Amino acid sequence: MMRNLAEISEDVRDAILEIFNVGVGRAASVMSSLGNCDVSLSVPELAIIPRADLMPLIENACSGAVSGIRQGFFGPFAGDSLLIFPERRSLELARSLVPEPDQAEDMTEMEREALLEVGNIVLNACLSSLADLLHVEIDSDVPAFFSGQPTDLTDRMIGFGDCDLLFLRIDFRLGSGAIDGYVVFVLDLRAADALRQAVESILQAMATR
Amino acid sequence: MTNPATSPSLTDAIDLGLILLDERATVRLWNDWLSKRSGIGPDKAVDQTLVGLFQDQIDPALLDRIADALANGRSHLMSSSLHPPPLPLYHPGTQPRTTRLSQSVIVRPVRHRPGLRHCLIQVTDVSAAVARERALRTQARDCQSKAAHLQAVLDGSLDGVLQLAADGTILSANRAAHRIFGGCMTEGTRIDDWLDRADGRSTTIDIAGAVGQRLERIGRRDTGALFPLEIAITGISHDIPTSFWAVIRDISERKGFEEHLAQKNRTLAQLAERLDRARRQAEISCLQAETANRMKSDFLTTMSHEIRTPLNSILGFAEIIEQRLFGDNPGLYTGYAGYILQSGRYLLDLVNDLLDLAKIEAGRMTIRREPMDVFHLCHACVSLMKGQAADHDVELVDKFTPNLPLLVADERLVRQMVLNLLSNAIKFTGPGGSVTLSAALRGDGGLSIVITDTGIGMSRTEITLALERFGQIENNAIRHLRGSGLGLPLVKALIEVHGGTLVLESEPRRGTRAELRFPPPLPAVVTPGASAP
Repeated sequence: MMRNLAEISEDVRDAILEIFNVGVGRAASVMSSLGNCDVSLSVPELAIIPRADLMPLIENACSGAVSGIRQGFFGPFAGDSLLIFPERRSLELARSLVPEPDQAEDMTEMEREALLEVGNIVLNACLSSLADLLHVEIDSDVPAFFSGQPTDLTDRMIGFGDCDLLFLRIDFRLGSGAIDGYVVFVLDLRAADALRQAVESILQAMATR
Repeated sequence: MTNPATSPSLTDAIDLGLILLDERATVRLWNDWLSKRSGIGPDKAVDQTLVGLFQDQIDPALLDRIADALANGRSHLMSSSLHPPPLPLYHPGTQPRTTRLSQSVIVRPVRHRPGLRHCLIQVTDVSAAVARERALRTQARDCQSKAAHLQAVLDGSLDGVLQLAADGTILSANRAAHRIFGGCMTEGTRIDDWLDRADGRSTTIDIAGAVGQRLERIGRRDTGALFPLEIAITGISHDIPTSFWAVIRDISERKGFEEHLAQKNRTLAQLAERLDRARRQAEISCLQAETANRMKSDFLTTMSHEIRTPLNSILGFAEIIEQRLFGDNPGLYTGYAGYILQSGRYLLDLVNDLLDLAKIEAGRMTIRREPMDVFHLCHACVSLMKGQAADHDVELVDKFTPNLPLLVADERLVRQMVLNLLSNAIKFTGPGGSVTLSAALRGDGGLSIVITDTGIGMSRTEITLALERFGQIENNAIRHLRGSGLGLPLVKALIEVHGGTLVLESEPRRGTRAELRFPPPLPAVVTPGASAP
């Protein structure tokens, strides 16, 4: 059943991608209203992968330590949403947000809090898109900051067992620079099933169009 | 159930602001923390909306977040970095209330009943953290500024600067250090690696021991070229472990300049010495010229006297004879003619001597070398001078070693030399004295003719003067004996023309010994009876 998710057609994938793009577009407008950052966001890639594939994917994309924001969600179904950056890029992003950036090696408390808010905005936007897609209400938890090696990430998800992951690559464009971030939704069985059903109904709608 | 908004509870003990809004966004909980910072007590806050409490002083972004939490169940975080403080909260007790607390706000939905959500707002005072970060940032900027200044100084320095570990390992090097040592001074090498190992002093530097000193060493560039350098080492004991800095100066130019200067000094000293020598020589030449000039003047005076006297004699006696002043007395006139003849001969000799000297001076004197018998020549000279010796009451003696070899020389000139010396010796030897003429073969094979007298003799200075051309000894005792001043100089010149020397030995009142030293014959001395080569 779950494999079906991975086998959805390019057209359906594009449709889901578009829904997320609208969501992060809203996030970008919220961030731009913060004043300090002129940000545009887009979701150029979407993949539905088994959990076992996450580690190599993150390792390949980030090559080294990662940091990011984790925000749980709950309601009719529960899971974890993560915004992941290569550690160095997260520092760059945080520095681009605060008015008087520090030049120290480590992120300061205020920079970390600013990054948390950015993650909060992006993950909320993505959760909204997901809720819209699945026609459910999803409540989100307070965001938390994490950093470490990619293996630490998968250790955090140990409670989920084998499950499917929704993997989005998000482009952050800040002025002249571009920073890649990765959004991962860890879906439990019910969520995965709901997603499958939603995809099927999209497929059916497209077939009858 | 106790109303949490009106009675003291756990929420009042929490060090953050807590607001609970119901589904209509009216306040259900307002803790003590908020009362103290907003000036609004729970009795006024409960059952009011936030807009009702704060009007336009609340950030609309916070209201948006609250609405989203209540409607869609999203949690929100509003960071103090990205937002101005959203609520009009102030430090308790501060008046007037102008600067809001720095706030970090979390808005989270709380499921109340299915389909209904409440919203919990958590407000944290992050003023201390913000102030702390601001201070840290200021400090960091100061440090960066100082570091940038230091880096600019290091980059612009003409001297090489190395940061060293205590064991001499190079931790960092500025541009000048790379330039001095050849552009590829790899960090992590030791300072000793860049010094000449052939120089015993340079192999190791005790870094800690060298603090405060200036060392001169021989450096080695990466090309292997050696150059003199100066190192000054400082230690910064505030650092743990102590860090060391070495300032390195390439002193090739200075050393070259010093060497150049030393060379110049040596040249100058040599020049000064040469100048001094030249000056002394010039003084001597000047003195000689003055002396020569004076002697020439004296000579001219003497010569005019020497020529005028016999001429007066010749003219006087010739006039007596021509006018027969003493009547017809042939015997008397014959005697006068003798005087005229004697004066004429004297004049002739004088002129001959002058001509010979002039010839020798001009280098045009030619001599006719031929083998001659010294014994015969000397004997003839003695015979010639006997009359003069008798006139002066001087005994003239000749002593000859038998079987003397023949002398190869110009006979006329040898005769002139011997007669001159004999004449001088007789002239300066008083009555009762003696003059001895001898000839002998020396150890080196050369012949010497020696004339010794028992006369008044000369001092060393007088000998020198007598040998100078036109030299005359100023001595009242012998003023009446003065000749032309040409005798001894002419003899000296003539023997030198033969390649020999005139040796004069004398002391005042002890007589004089004059030796004509002819050089050994080349290739061989011809003995009497043998044929000449």
